[in-house]
Amino acid sequence: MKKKSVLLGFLLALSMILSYIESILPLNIGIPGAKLGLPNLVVVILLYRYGGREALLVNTLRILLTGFLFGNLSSILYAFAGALCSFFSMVVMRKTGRFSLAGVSIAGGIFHNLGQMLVAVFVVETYAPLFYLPFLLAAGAVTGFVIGIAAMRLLPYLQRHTGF
Amino acid sequence: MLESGKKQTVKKADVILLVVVLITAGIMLFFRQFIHAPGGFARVSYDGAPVAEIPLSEKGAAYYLFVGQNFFSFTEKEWQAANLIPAGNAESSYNAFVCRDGEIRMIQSNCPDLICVHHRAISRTGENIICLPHGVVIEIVGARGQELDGVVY
Repeated sequence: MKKKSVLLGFLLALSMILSYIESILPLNIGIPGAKLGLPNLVVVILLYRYGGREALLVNTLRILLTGFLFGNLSSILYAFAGALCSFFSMVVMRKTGRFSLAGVSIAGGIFHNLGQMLVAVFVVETYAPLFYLPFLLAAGAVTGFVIGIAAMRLLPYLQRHTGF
Repeated sequence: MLESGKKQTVKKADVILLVVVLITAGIMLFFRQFIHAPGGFARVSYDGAPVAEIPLSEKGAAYYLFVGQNFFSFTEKEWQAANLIPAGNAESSYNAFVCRDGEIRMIQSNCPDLICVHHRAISRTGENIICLPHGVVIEIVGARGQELDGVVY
């Protein structure tokens, strides 16, 4: 139990660093809102190693902490919308048992973008953000796939070398 | 839970999912190019309410400034002479954009992410530049809307 809380704290710190790196990395590919989704690496690893509760806990704390440190209230709102949509889609995808971590992460990437786009529609009160739907679908799928493969490679190493 | 040492591999279903999503996005883009003709006007809205409609066909460059709730327009000379915004020194939120050669581009803003300023110029129906932090949307429309309270040139 003690070891677990240390590990969760460590992973929380790691995910905060990943969100910070993501915020300073300029991914300007002409798609507003598209990003790599680096913190999702920690979320999927936790989802597979421990389960939904731990993954949700660490991700919620990450959003609150990074939001108050580097962002503002509206950035927290967007982050939550994306994170919750992403999280539940990944839990459902994992339950089906048909997909590996890569497929689960693809769904996470897509639903993260969908969630944020829906919040944007409510914020600006026009359907203009939906213009980016095809771009964000594709971007979410590709980044999710890449992050999923990275997590898949990482998990055995973590287990072997850190007893994680 | 994962047994230690057990290696996961990419399944066929993962790749199928990826390909299906990419094809769906591609199909949406393919059909969209038929819908999105060159636009006639740019509609500026703030928190969902239209503020102004700008004709894209104007000769030369027209500059527009949206500060707080107020909307101003300038000619190129006026804009350069006025030097209105000492960068980063404005108290209320502002967005400045220019219409040149039938294209609209956001040139300045004091929003935190600057996604709107980095957005490429827009000219075709349906294209838009959204400044989420400020709730400002510039959207290209085919013809002038009917539901406007007032029009600013």
